[in-house]
Amino acid sequence: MKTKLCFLTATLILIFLIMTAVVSATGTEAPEAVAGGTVFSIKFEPKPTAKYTLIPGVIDMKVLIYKPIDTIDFKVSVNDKVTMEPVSGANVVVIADVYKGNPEKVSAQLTEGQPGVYSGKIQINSQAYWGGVRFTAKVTQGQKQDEANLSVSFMELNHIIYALLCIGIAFSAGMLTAITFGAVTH
Amino acid sequence: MFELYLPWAGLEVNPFGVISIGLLVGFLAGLVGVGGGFLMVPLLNSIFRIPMNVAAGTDLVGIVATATSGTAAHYKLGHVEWKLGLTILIGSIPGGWTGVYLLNSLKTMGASNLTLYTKIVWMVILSFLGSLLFLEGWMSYRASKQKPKTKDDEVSTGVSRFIRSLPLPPKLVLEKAEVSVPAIFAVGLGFLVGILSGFMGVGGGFLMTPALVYGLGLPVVIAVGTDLFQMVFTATNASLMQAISGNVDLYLLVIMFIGTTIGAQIGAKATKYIKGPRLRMIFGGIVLIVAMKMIVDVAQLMRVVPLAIAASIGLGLLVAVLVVSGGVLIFALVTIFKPKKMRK
Repeated sequence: MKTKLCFLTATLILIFLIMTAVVSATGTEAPEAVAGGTVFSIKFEPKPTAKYTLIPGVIDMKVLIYKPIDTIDFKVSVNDKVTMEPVSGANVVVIADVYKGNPEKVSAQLTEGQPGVYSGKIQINSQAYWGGVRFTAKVTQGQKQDEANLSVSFMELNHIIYALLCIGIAFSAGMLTAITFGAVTH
Repeated sequence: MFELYLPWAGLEVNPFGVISIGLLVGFLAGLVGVGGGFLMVPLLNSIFRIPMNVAAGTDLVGIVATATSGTAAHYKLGHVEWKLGLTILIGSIPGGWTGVYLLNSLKTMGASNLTLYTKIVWMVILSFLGSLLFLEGWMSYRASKQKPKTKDDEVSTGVSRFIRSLPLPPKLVLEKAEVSVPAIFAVGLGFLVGILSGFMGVGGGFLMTPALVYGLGLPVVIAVGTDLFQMVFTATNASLMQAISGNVDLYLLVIMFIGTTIGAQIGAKATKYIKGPRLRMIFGGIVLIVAMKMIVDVAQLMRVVPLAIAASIGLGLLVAVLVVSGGVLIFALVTIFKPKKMRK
């Protein structure tokens, strides 16, 4: 019993040390050290009640696969939901901010180029290894203000590898326990 | 004092403290025969302030390990009903996605909402589970004083006979258990357990095993073996999503696993000396105390109870959990290591 416990503890400590080395090498806090890029998965969440809409089809992300510290160019179109006419002018403010997984809030106000088309740049924080970018368009007409939102979530390739590593360790630890002791934990 | 920084949880913990809690939970789980995730997650949150989503996600990966070792052993013993297990997976896999989606949706609503809603769910589940364990222990205790049950009584209840007789095709013919059951029931059960697994980071054995035994009339060993088999895939599926969502802290997983594995071995060994319905009543009582802690937390988050009072009551309840479970552990260790002639 004692030998088995020592064997299991030693193995787990070894796994722990390997993990420390792996995490240090890949850098959970400095993902730019990892070769390869980030996989973008895009989901659109237009606010259904807003009078105006941010058109997803014209979002222009020139860099869909990027390293977290990269600067991303955004282009968003704001249109009236009913007429689909471009919404432009000084009463329109479009802001992009990185949310989720970003320790410091990073946001940028987009500037209007063509009528109703707003563009800008935002630098993804080096620690934002997963999360999303949210666009908010605020349209003020007199006393009334309407707001439309659009979210784009992103995920780092590093995270998929991490998830597989977690499962791999869990399977190994489970099999190790089964070989050493048999099943008793349920 | 030695502190370990958990990068995914974003805070420092004392690893020896986590190992100790893992030891206690693993011991109780091994002693009673449950996974223990429903106790581990709230304790990690209450004692170490680990966010509920990280505690749930990390515990879920730990369950993959536990279920793998359990399935390997039950496979050798021939206790796995493959057909039923695979049918359950049809429901539990999308259930797991739904659970993780719900958890991540709460995350986007902000940290305070995430904490509040997850604690409400935990409060309800723990209250139900604690009451169930306590009542089951109490009823078994009373029944043990009367005539012992036959094997047939244990596996065939009025509910199971009713469910098996429902004219809902297709029906699964389970050769090992010698029963046939409606497939839709297994799929529905799988979906429910999958949601709990993805959302709460538990294996769901506390729901699946009784449902298979009392609902479908399976023998207990077959129910446990089949539950563990489906749990490997359900927990793996939800774990992958939890890890991708940033809810799994590998450092926490490893130190937690050291404690739970050793604790489970002591618990399993102790079942030779400590057994019976009284033990399940004690375990049910511990779960109910944790449920009370969740009730206090929810009351404080909803500003029904002032923070200072909630903190004092919460501390008292946690001390009660540690004293009771620690007391059982010490009693078990003393009994195990006592010389044989002194045990009687």
